[in-house]
Amino acid sequence: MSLKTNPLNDAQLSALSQLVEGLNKEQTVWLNGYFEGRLAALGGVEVPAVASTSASTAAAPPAQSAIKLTILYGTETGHSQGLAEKLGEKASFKGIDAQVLSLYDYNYKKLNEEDNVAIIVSTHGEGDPPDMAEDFYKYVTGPRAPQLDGVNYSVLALGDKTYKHFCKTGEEIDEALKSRGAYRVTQAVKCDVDYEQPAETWMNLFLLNLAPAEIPEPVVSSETSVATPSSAGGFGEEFSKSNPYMATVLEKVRITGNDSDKEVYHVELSLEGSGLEYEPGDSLGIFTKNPEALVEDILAFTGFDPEQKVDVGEEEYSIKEALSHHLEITMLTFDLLTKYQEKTKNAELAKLLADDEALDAYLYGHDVLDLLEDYPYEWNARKLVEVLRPIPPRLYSISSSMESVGEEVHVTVSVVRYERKNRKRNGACSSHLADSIEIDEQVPVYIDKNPSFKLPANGSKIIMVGAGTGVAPYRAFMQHRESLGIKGESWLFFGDRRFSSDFLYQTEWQKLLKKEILTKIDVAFSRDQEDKVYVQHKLKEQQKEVFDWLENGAHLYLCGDMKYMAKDVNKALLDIIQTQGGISEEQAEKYVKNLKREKRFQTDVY
Amino acid sequence: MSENINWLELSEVERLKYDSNYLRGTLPESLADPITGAISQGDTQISKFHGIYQQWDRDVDKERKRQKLEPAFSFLIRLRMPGGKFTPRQWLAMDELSDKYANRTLKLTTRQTFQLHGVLKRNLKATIKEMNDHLMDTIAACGDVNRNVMSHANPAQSPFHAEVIETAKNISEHLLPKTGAYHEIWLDKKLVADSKEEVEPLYGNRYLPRKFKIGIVIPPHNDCDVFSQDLGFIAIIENGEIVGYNVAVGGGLGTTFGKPETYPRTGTVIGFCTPDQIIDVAEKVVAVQRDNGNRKDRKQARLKYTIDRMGVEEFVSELTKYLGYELEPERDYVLERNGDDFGWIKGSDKKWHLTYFVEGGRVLDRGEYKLKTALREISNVIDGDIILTGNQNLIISGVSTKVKNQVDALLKTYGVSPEDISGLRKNSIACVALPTCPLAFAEAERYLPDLVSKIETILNEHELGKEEIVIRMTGCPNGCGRPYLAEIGLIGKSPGYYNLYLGGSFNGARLNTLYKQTINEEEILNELRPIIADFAANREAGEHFGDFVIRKNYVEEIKEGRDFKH
Repeated sequence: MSLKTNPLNDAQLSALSQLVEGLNKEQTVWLNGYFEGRLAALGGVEVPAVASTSASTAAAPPAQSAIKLTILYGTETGHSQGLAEKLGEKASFKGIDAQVLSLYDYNYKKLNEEDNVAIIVSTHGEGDPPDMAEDFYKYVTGPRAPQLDGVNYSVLALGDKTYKHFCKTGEEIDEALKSRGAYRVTQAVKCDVDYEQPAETWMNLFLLNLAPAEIPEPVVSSETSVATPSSAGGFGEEFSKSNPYMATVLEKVRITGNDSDKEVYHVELSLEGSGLEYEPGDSLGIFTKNPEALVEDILAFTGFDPEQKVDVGEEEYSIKEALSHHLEITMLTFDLLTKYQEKTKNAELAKLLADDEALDAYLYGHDVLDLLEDYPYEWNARKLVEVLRPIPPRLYSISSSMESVGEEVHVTVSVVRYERKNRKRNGACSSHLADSIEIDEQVPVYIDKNPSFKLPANGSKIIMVGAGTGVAPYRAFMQHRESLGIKGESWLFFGDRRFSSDFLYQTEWQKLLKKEILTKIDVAFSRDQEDKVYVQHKLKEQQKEVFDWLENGAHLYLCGDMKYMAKDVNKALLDIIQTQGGISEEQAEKYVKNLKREKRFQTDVY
Repeated sequence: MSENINWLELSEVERLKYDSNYLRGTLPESLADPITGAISQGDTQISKFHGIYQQWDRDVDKERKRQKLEPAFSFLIRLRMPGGKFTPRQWLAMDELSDKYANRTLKLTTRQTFQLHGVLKRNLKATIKEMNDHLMDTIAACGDVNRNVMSHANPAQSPFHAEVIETAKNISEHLLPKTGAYHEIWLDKKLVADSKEEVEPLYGNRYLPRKFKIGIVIPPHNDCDVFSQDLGFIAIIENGEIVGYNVAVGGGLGTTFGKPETYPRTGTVIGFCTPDQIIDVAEKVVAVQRDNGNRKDRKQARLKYTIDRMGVEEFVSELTKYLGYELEPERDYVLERNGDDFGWIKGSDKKWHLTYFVEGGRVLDRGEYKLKTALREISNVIDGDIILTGNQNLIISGVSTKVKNQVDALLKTYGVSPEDISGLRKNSIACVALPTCPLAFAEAERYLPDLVSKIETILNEHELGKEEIVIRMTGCPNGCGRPYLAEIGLIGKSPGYYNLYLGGSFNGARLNTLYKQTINEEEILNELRPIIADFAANREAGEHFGDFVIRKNYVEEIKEGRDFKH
């Protein structure tokens, strides 16, 4: 292609040739279809009269009046954003004029002027909307919500069945819009942590209802998630959650000292030849198996024949295999307890379900064997399997940058172990990695993108706050900046229990400081002195400078425990902004909200 | 002192001392740095002058490296306590500090003081403050200055004990660095004018070329190895009083493998001084060394090398110039042994004194053996003092008959009654070595008790279980455990391997001689077995093992330090 005859600028051209290079036939066909869709969506833009053979691709039917669709997302972890963007692509491909916006950026006062709206929103903690969706949520569920006659919509709700208020935000928005007269194009879909398949179905159904197949489906599906799991690993195979890559363990080392009461492992995995790519801030999904002892204990307690066949989804396994590999048994969820109660009609359990506080306490630190023991019932294996949920993969914040480690991915795994009722309990994935997986063995993995935990593109200042394994993504951040030679000030606040044994990646931070990749570091070790000192205390100690950094455009990151640390850090942050900015609490809240809107305050908490 | 110093030709430590602003260095910054448990490289030299050594747990070195953790840094804190005499309250304070901030043990050193091991950087200040609250300090316990002054330890053995310990204290005070750095850094006393004016009239701004050690003995006891000291004083008693001291100079033991120009040397007696001259003599010997010691090569910097370089005569004439008078000729004395005499003795003060063997100088509780608890309980009841000896042992001193019985009962209760300890074990010394000493090539404290047991088996075959033989082991050739003066000396070369030295004298006046190089336990035992058999069969009446191996030509006597082979 001659430079003179193309309308692209240099950057676009270079991006294009980079993209085109190495595409196989299938991928080229798909892209061809994609661009046809794009073109249609652009509403029959005239193709400049250039002497180009590719002009024939402009033969797509000009869309008379393209359907308009506004896709809104509210996210904390980035999953909703990812899905919104995917829906946008699908819609464009179908010739729909789709616009993807975060609920931050969306002017909700115009909601009643919309034709078609798709809302993808997650739920957090005690049924709370994500920060960015808060204002929208209040508006549509509150008394000032407008009439929405003539607005078509559907909601995709994301959540986690571990929590009681599963998908509450999505449900409530769905109800609110309906009650204001909007037309529900397709039923709202509620997704658990394995959201890919139901989300896919919802998207397809929704788009089909909006725009009945005017444009032929592409020859090949663009969706990696519908690819069938395969171990063939042939050229061009795309690995994903539904087709995980078997990654070889290159290194596994406990990085807490021998006098630590915490077991944290640094694990390095090979992605060589997988084609998997990630960016700092993304997570690694790891499929796991349950602790053998727990499986044995459940079989012994129930008296099930280990070889008895049961169905899990479409597949048939022995109950032993199902409990080992396919069903969640180390954790309890609200959903499970509800189903369990429905089947057993256990009055005690009904009481528990009605008592929020007792329920929370029970959900934390109990497993399926506890449930079986505490609320006895004559189960048969098939029935029990029906109430259990499939075991979801575990997500770990990636602690490496591909710019630095190439085709490898590193994760930092804190092993969950505790004892209750004289029985040792082990986290499914963490203990599996710690106890059973050795160097050179393989584990099934996929990349879980997190667009809402990303380094600024430039060398803006960054403040990184993390406790325990929450420090993992910052290792990735620093590797990234070092490898790309991105100059920019950075400040790490790290907290853990003990300096001498729990200072995760200590020697690496020391080197980064020496090389001035990391500008400053403050550390809080809670058990090294009588008073517990945590990261929020260090932030407050340094509040003047922290505030200065924020005022000078710093991006703030928070990663780690949600229940305590994130809460305390958020509170400290508000205090700092209030004190240093000399403003009211309300104004400080606005300040924080604004940081989030500008993507200058990003969190990855769990 | 000329400020035109050619730093290039001097050892690096000279520059560090000079730049340290009288021993301040960057210690406050190092202590405040939260991301490392270490202090800066330069400060590791300066901290020694404050009695603090940076160490790390070498047992976990490799694993921590893989764990992306820095070495497990911790600090040794050494007290300054001239003469080693502690009140029971001070003992209790140290006992508590060891639990609170250190590794729950106390190490009794070969210089009559305590060491705490395993103190983390963030606890250094608190530890030193609490020591200060109990009138204890760590100033100049290490570093290129005069260190803890030793003195004869046992009040029961000599009515002059009180006088020499007082002298030891006076010498120590007189030779203390005068900088306010210690009080500023550790005790938060106000910063005094920051300037290079003459704050150290004796030491100057570069202090001594190397460490300097002083000890005082009362014959016939040589319990602080007077000939191992840079400057030794031997009390001369005539007509029931101390009339003065013989002066021995140029003792010193440290050597370096592979450097034949380094050697141990026993002190040379150069004369006699009166009690009122002793502090002046100490000061002037220090001054001669300050001005003549080698500041280019730290391995040639001790007084022993200065004297051998100058020649004894030249050294004495220089000293005479500094003193402004001549020392009198040395007087007669007899030294019998350098070990301790164990057990209860009633002193001329009518009080009871128990000299108690502490293996490896380590006070701890381990299983049924609860020495630390026993000594804590004893400190709570005694009406006397606790004195540390120069052989890592202690004396429960000056108690009434009633308390004596209580002490015996407590020792029994906690499983640490002084049972039948062999003559060999009683005379054993081991330095700390692995895992915390950065200099160690091999084990010492953790290993010597086992080796002694195995040698005991051989001795018992020849009914020599009671025979007193001085055995000393160190993990490196620096000489903290004074192995060069032992009848059987073992110096670590690499893990599991030692050089075996024989022929030191029982009274500590003669160096031993290299017998076998780089041998393991089996070889050590195989070498000793026939010699012990020969000793049992052919010794002369009262002949000590060290003298026997020389008479029988197992080794040749070393007469001059410079003839010593590693």
